[in-house]
Amino acid sequence: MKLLIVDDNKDITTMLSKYLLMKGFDCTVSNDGKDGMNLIKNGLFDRVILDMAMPDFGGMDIINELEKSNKLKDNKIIIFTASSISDEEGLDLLKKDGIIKLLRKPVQLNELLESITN
Amino acid sequence: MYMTTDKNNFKNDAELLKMNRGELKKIQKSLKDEIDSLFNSLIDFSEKSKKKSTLPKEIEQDKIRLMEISGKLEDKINDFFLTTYKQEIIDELGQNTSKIKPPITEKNGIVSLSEQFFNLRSTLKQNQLFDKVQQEELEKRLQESNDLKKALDESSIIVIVDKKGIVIYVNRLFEEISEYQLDELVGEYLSLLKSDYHTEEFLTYLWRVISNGFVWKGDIKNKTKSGNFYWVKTTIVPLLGKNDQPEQYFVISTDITKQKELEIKLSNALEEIKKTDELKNEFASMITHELKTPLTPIRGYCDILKEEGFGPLNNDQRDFINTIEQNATRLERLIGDVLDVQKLDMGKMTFNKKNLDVGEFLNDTEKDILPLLKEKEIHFSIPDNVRINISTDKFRLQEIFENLIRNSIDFVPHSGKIDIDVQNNEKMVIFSVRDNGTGIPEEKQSNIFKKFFQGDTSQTRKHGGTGLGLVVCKGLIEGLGGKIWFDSQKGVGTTFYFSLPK
Repeated sequence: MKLLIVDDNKDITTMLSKYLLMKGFDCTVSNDGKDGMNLIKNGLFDRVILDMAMPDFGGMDIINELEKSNKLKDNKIIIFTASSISDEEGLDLLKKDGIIKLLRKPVQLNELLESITN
Repeated sequence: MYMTTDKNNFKNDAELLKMNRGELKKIQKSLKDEIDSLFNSLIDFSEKSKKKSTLPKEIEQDKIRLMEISGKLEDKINDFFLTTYKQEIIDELGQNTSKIKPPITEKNGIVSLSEQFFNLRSTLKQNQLFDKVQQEELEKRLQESNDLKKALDESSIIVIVDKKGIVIYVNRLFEEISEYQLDELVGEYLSLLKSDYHTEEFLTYLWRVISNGFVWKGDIKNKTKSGNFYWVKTTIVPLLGKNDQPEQYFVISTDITKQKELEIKLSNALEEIKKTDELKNEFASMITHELKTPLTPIRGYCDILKEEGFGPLNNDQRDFINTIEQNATRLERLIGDVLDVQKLDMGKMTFNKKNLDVGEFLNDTEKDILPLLKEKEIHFSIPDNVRINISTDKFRLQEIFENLIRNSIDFVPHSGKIDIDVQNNEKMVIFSVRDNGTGIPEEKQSNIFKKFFQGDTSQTRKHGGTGLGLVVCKGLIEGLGGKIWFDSQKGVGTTFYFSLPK
């Protein structure tokens, strides 16, 4: 299974990729929002782990852009965020076709694993 | 001004009457002489008539003479009344002439004539009395009006402007507050005091109200001669003239500068609070993100190491990792509590009430809490066969129980006891969390729902609480429509109770 991890925090992407590699996944990492979006647009990934708060181009920008180009629904995105997201905001995100899970940082890695494999 | 003129007129009236009385006396004397002469003639005539010796021709002549005198007298009296007396009375007394009986119009003879004359005199006297009473009344009213004017003058800032807005009069208080003198203002437009604080719309509306004859009330900011500003609470009363159109405007104000300054300070302070709240909000979001982000790799690496994918761990290493994890969890809880308190403080906590099976809920809670009880080998119990349904927010209730149970875990001894119970009342359900911990010292009991307070400050480090758990509990319970209270005895234990509506 091919995974893409988009997060500006390198400690997080390194930790996640080490763990997921250990679990046998093929991981690609991007520490930049725009770069991450271009990778998602190519549509080569089975799951995308997406951070929300990133400088310049954040997770929400990526989602909006994908929606505009009608490519959001082709993806399976797991939102992985440290930002406080209200219940309403969370439910709004989950209504979108292409977003499969909302995880809040810090998370227990087995919980993340479950989200990927389910 | 108007009243004074009236008073003068009155004086003139009185003077005139006095003069007329002198004239009348003269006339009265002359009349009396004429009447005396007439009576003498009558007596003479009558005696002559009794004497039969008197020649009818002579009597006839006397009769003619008498008629002549009588006619002359009547004419004279009539002339007097019609020209001198009546005319002047009509001129000077105006409406009061109705009280004066009209002079003789018929030739009724001397007696009737003199009767009418005396009637006229008594009417004149009555009129004088009436005028005296009226003058007293007038003076009383003038005094009252002066008193009122004085009171108004002493208490209010007064301007009178004409229909164009040009100042006609200002009082002393106006001079004091505006720093202008009366003569500097008279003839000037009142807009001289404009502070430029009010919008054109405000001033246009004000003018539209008063120029249509309506009273305007409101607060106005004005500028003094030296350029300072003052606030007045103002009433503008249009004084209507012909066709009900305003001729003048009576502007009565009171100084509310201090009050306004306070109002402005208060509104600024509220604005500040609002800004601070926004900052707090931003800060809370920032905290969430900035504190949770570094916790992610800390916890993540703990998980990775514990899975031993990168090599086996010895017991010490495992203990160290557990300690790192526990501290990370503590930090996470602290962040969560801070955010909850923040939301509760700002009234932004949302509650999503749904039907909840309390029995099922307590079973789930027990499962969730079991791992926490292992370390101290705590005996934990929940009631059996609870058949209660309430409408509440399940996740908030979980948070409440977690906080209260964690609180108890911190304070019970090894192998201590924590018992959960629930009572079903008519309208409320009362939950309780009972422990056999150290209890809350009596002197600290009143503070336990305050932020960052713990029963014993040395406990903070020992038990690792955030000092916010009970604050959050209280906020959440109250948000759900209930109340929290407790019963505690040092060395025996503590029971927390909370009620929730069904």
